[in-house]
Amino acid sequence: MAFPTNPIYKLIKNNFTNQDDGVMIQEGNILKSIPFDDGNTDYQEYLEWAKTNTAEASD
Amino acid sequence: MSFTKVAPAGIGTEPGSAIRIGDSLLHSTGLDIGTGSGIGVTIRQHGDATFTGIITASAFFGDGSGLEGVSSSGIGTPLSDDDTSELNKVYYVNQELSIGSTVTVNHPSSAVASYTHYQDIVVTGDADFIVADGDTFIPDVLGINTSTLPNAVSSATGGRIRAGTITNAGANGAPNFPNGLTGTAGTFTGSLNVGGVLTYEDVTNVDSIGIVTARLGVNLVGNDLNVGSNIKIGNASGIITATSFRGDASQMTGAGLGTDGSANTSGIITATAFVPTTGQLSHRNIVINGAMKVSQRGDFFGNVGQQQYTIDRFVTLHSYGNVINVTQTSTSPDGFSKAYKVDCQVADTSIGAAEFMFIRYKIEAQDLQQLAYGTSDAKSITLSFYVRSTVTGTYAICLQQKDNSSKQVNGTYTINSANTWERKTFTYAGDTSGIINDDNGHGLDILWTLVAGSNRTSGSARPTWTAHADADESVGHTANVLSSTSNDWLITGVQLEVGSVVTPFEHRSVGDELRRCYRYFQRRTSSDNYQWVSLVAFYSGSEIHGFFDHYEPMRASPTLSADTGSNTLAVQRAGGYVAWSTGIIKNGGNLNVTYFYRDGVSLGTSGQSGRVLTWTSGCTITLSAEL
Repeated sequence: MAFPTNPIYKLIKNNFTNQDDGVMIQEGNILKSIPFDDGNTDYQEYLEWAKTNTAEASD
Repeated sequence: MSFTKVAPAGIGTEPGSAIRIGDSLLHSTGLDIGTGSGIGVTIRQHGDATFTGIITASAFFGDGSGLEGVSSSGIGTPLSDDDTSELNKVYYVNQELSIGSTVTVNHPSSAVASYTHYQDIVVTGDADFIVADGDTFIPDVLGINTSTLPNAVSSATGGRIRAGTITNAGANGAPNFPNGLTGTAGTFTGSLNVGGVLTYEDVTNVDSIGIVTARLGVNLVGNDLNVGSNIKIGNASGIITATSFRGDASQMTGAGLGTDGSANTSGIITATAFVPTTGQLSHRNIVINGAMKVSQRGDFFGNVGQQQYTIDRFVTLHSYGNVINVTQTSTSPDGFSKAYKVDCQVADTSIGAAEFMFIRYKIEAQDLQQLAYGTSDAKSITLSFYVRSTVTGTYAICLQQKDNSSKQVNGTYTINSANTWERKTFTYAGDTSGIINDDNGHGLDILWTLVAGSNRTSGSARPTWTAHADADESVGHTANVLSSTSNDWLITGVQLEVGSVVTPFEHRSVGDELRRCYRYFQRRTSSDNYQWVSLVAFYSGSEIHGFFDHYEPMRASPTLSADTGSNTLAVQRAGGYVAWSTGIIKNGGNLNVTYFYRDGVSLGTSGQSGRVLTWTSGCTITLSAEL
């Protein structure tokens, strides 16, 4: 899987459910995998970003 | 007695004082006046005299006991002279007997008492009215002004002696009242000695400007003892015993009772049980890692970003670029081993209106339910912390309710002395209208201001919970931690507790704090290379799958962060190993476990197992469910 660059978020497809259940983002040398969980603040940040942007589709 | 005329002829005068009738002296023969016996005046030589008319004189003297036709000697004056009239048997007595010159009442020793029926003996001018020593004088002997006629001698209650001064008979001492005194008031300029009982039933008040001494105690029956000033017992070293004590005991020593209901003592307090009405005996501190013991991310953080977690649970919030470093320092107050240290790296001596810098602590909402916010039983909270800085001056703090549009309270503290640890405390009343949701969300923020432009200082002080305004956040803040690159600011011992009483910092073990921190953040690798990260299995020849059992259930499904530096990770399996530089990717999970995978890894065989290692030092894999 290639790193997301622009757009900065890329959806993650769960290998078992074959459904997107997260997004990833590269920050410097750190690759973050963010689950679709309303309690996750990174996910909340993604949702704000997604109001005006579209993440790269999952592989 | 005088005569204006002497007749008939033959009456002459004897030289001297005698009167002669013929050849006889008048006092030898007597004098008959009138024409027959019983008429006129007959004066006998032996002294008898008969008057058939009325004798009028200014006064009569002598024993009147033999008088006839007089009902009672000395009873008074009849209202009528006509003895045929009933008023002749009705008498009156003037009220006053006026004493205009000194007299002495000195009755014969054969008498019991001397008396008068006058009610008042009025001693006028310089006269004295003297009752001889050993004698008894009774005024108003008839007791006319009493409701019942008393025994004349022993029970007379009427009558008065009116005089400016009453002394003993010798006018040189106090008179004696052998049967006591009865009156309505009394004034004594000297001592009053009472040999018997001073009966209190009829006393309304006892008023003394001096000391009242009661050698055998004071007995107050059924009422209060009100003291305007101090009570001293045994020169302040005695004992007060009572069923209960009430009121302000703030000036007491030894007991250590304060006006706020607290007890402060340097001794030992022992009790069957200690039952707080607010707060709790243990786990009082709502803040996790308040002593800054846990720092999973490291102990030094250079060029800290605008919102960056450093020491566990504490995060920056600022408007600058790379201007500060943060260190987990061992510079700490007595009883602590760690502190959060901010070092200024780039100075800003002219703070713009929109610039700010906070250190922030976020509290999970469901850990705040004991505050009962949004109810009439909302509890007060008390924040305390130890702080020091190279920069003296006034600093601001602010608390915000994130479930209520950041409704907030604020306050200021002063760092009085540079580089000196000081403990600061703040207490805020509960918010009866702001409900904190019972969930895993963001419930409360604590913000310590280090730098604040006018956009955050131009509002109002908010000692009670008030709707959020940026301008209120740092009201009163004047210090500038960024004024010089030699500046620093340190904090530790952060405690937030229920109630209005600040208690000593609640120290918890590092293990306890670490497990609490795991709810929000878990570092899954050490800083060394070749450290075992996880068992994995090859899903295909180039894709591995593994998982992390969480050390503690996490607040939310966490973000998985993995280092993508050059060859930071490697998988080792039978036949060799392969390193890669693309990290790992989350592949589902929940609060208790995180699954991950990595594709593009060659040299595997489907179904083969292996282990993932850190291949270079400093490789980090973390799970984060921070607020």
